[in-house]
Amino acid sequence: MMTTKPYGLPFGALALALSVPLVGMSELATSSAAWAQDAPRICVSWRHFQEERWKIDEAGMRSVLDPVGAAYVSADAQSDPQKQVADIEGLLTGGCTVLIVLAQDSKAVLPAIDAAVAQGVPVVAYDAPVDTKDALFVSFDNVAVGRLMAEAMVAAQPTGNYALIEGDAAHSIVNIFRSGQMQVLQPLIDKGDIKIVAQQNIQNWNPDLAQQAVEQILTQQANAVDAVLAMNDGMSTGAAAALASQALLGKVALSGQDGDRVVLNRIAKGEQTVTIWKNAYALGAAAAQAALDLAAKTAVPGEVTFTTESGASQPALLLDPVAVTRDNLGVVVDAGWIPKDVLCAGVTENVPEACK
Amino acid sequence: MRALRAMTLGRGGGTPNGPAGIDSRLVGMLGILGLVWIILELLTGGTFLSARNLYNLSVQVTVVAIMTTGMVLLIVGRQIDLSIGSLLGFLSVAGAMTQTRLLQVDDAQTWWLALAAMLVAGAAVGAVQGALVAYANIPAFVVTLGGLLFFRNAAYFINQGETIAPLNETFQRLGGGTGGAIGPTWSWVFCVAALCFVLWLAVLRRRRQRRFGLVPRALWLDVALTSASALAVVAFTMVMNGYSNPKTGAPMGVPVPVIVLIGVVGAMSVLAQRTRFGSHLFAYGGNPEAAKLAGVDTRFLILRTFALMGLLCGLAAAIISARLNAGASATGTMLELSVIAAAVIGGTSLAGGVGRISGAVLGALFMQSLESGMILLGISSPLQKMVLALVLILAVWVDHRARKVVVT
Repeated sequence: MMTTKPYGLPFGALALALSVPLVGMSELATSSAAWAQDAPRICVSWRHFQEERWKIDEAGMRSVLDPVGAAYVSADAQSDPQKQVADIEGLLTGGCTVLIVLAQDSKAVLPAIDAAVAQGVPVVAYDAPVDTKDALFVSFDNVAVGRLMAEAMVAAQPTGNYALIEGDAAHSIVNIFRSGQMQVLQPLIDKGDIKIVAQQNIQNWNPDLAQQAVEQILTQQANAVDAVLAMNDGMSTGAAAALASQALLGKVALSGQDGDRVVLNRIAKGEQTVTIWKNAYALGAAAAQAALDLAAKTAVPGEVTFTTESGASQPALLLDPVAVTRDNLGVVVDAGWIPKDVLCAGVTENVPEACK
Repeated sequence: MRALRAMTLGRGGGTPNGPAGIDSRLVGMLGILGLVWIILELLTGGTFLSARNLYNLSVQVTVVAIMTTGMVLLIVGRQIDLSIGSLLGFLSVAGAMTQTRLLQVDDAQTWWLALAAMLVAGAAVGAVQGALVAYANIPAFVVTLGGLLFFRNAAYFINQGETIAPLNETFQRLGGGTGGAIGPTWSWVFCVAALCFVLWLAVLRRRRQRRFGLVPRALWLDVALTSASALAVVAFTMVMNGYSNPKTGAPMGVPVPVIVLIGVVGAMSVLAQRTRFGSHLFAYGGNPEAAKLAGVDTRFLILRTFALMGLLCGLAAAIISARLNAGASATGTMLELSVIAAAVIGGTSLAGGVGRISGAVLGALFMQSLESGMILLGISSPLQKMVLALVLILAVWVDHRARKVVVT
């Protein structure tokens, strides 16, 4: 990457320069008492901590770690795979009992994972896959994400023309989501009930590029599209804008993933079919508990086997996501994910149960 | 200053003018664009040149085109701004928050207050970056690379990555959606105004050329060129009126963001070619030392150019968020590279001193045409980007060859 992009060198150098003080600061903040008592020291390498989502995961982790006095040390790779490797090396130098990694790239991170394993530090691959047998994968069942998404869409739109708006082609998770979708869709495609009329990968999962893609697909198909299967909520917001400009919003089935507030509100208004919601707090807590089990060298309960991209058998802990549709909108309110007034803002007609 | 003005009169500059005084570069670009359009029309079986697709295309190009006009001037002045994609995302989120948090979304005053806030914030950020470049002597590449990292993260930080929607109804008109065009009657009014402008421009050009002692080109040629421009304006209006509103079935007319774009292109062209600011900038880009010796306040000049870029970024942010009907943190990721590519394809020299607003806008339209056309054809996204990359290099190479031929 450094050699292929014109700006690669300064970016990489800058990232390296930034990574050192960042790791250093978080160590200063947390290393004091816990280290001396020989309590486990859990190191976490985030790939892009600025996103709202990961703060909830972090709170889930700390809810398990803080009561037992385990130290929590973290670094943020800011979406840069090279910085992530440097981050992990920095964390290992500071000392880790267990390393939790939210990988930016499933393969580029491997040298750092190998270094941890060589030092006898167990590794938890958090939420995003890491292509090695030497890590415990803690995630939502991402095949189930794709499957639940497609099931909800088929329930709303059992036949007709489907357009697939998929995530960045460079992210391997896209293939996992798609494999889940196809478990549901392929038999219907073979039967001739459903026809895939368009498929586009969206660079960086960018909402405005997704909007442009859906505009062009609707133009090409002369609006003969019955469902837009968008892989996440950001892209579904772009798709919704494109549908609205053809007065099709609410008439075409639309999916998403993440449980964005805006999207939940669209579901309440009847403008979107489904979003796949992952309870990030529960995932963070599960990963922290697994890390403590690994630190104590005890078995991790509920462990299954997961096959990585290159076919390695990896131990895994897979939680189930939830498909949120207008029929079960209550779950996100009950979990404290969204206040009822935000969920139900602007809902006037055909009010769903959760807004009554 | 008179001498400096005369010295840089040939700007638009270094552009090879053909024997008859026609800008052969611009004509060549129009020809290639026309050819690409016809090929895409044939490949898509008549979809590409449909009124609906041309409406889409004209709206889709506005964001990059508006920012490209500013980028041309920056590059002419030997600067670069890498922060604009990130700044666009930051201003989108900040503008959406202004509407939903600071103001009442449904209030009648909200749309212009939010727009004004985005423009002011954009210009202020540009001015600060410009000051760091011009007065603190930090290279523009470094300052705006910092801006790229800072504002993308600030876009996540100010709202923890949460997307904000829906936006104000009037504000949404800026995006060119179902409520975002001016209708057939006003489109014809707009058309007549544009025709008057084209005619006035032609007359003005002949007068100016006489005043500076140059021989104006043949009258028949001017008549032919002006008629061609007028025809294009009428055709554009007819096409936009030919697309009917999917909601009401009434003709849409010219989209609001396209009117904004045309206004920006007009204003920026005047700024580049008819004002002291423009003369100084081209003089500086051509030879910084000479401009300094001629008494140009080059530091303030650079600061103003960056502030202008920031202002245009604010305008583009308003359009992109109105179009998306949301403020989303990831908006505009990597868009700075599309903008720089459009400027370069449009004939802006990275060495400074040479560039043209109209060329750069054509460059943006060319890239957007290819991108939209390839989605129509169902070409996968990695392949699309590979094609665009090759086109970028090819375009610059052809341009280079063409210039050499004219010179020798």
